[in-house]
Amino acid sequence: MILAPDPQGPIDTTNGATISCNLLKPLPGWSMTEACTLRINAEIDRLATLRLFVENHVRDHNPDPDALYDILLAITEAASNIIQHGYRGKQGWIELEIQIRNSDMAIILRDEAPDFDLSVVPQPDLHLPLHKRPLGGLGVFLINTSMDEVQSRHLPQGGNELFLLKRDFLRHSQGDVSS
Amino acid sequence: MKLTINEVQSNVSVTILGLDGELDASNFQEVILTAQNIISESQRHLMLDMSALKFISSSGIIALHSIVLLMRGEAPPDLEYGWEAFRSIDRSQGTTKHPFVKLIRPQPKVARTLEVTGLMPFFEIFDDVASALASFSTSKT
Repeated sequence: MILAPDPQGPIDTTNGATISCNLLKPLPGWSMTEACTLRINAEIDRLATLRLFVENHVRDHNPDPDALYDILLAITEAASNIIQHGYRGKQGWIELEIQIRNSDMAIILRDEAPDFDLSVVPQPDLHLPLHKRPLGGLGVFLINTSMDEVQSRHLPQGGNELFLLKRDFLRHSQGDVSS
Repeated sequence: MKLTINEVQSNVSVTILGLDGELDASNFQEVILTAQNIISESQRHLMLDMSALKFISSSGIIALHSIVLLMRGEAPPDLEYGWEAFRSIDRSQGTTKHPFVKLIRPQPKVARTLEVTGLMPFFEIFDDVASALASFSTSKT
């Protein structure tokens, strides 16, 4: 069932991209969930498509600009990691699912790349001088600082799933009466 | 992303590299290469006009860092990047701002990313070209 119109804007669907907006399984504890999914080829030139997809979808929800920027940054970093460190130049796909409930937004990125565990990447300590900071991914650091919740897991059938949550991403709460 | 190059002349010759659009892993190497070309033409004073840069990812951070290294005559970091990339800049120069690379008016969200990634201390930031230009005139060459 289509719950939301196809995102408006020049998303190029001629390069293997598919878009669907459906009533998908709600997250635990969530009620009716508006969800849209974009699948693209895992190519670095498609990063802007991921951002455009999210921007188009949330445009009518009156998002907080800073929160939206954080979401776009986290998605960009996550997808870049999948393409560069997951697939490592091999062909593949990335699926981006966004779910909105009241003022929260969940983002789920799936791929079929070899296992890549974000949790093993060390977090830099910004209180240390630069030369003493532990090594690790700058992109992972930005994901963790931009989002309220980050979870990654390997899928039983192979591939990876990254769950990101941004709370209160709307400029004005639309009233969550379920809690 | 659109890149523009302009030359301005004051007490010193300065190149303004304008960044317009979104800077991410798909185009950051183009920025590094453009800066490399500018520097190879013996330009030692560079402004990065970031007023039209709407988005910057970690790859863009690496591009800015690479430009600082290039201005110092060093090779840019390996593109297999991370916090490792920042180590050389700190070893060589501590946390001082680079005197010949200035940033013009980064948008607040872009500036926030520079801040949280620890890159901000390496750059002087100006609200306009005129004040950045004046600062070059007072920099020691």
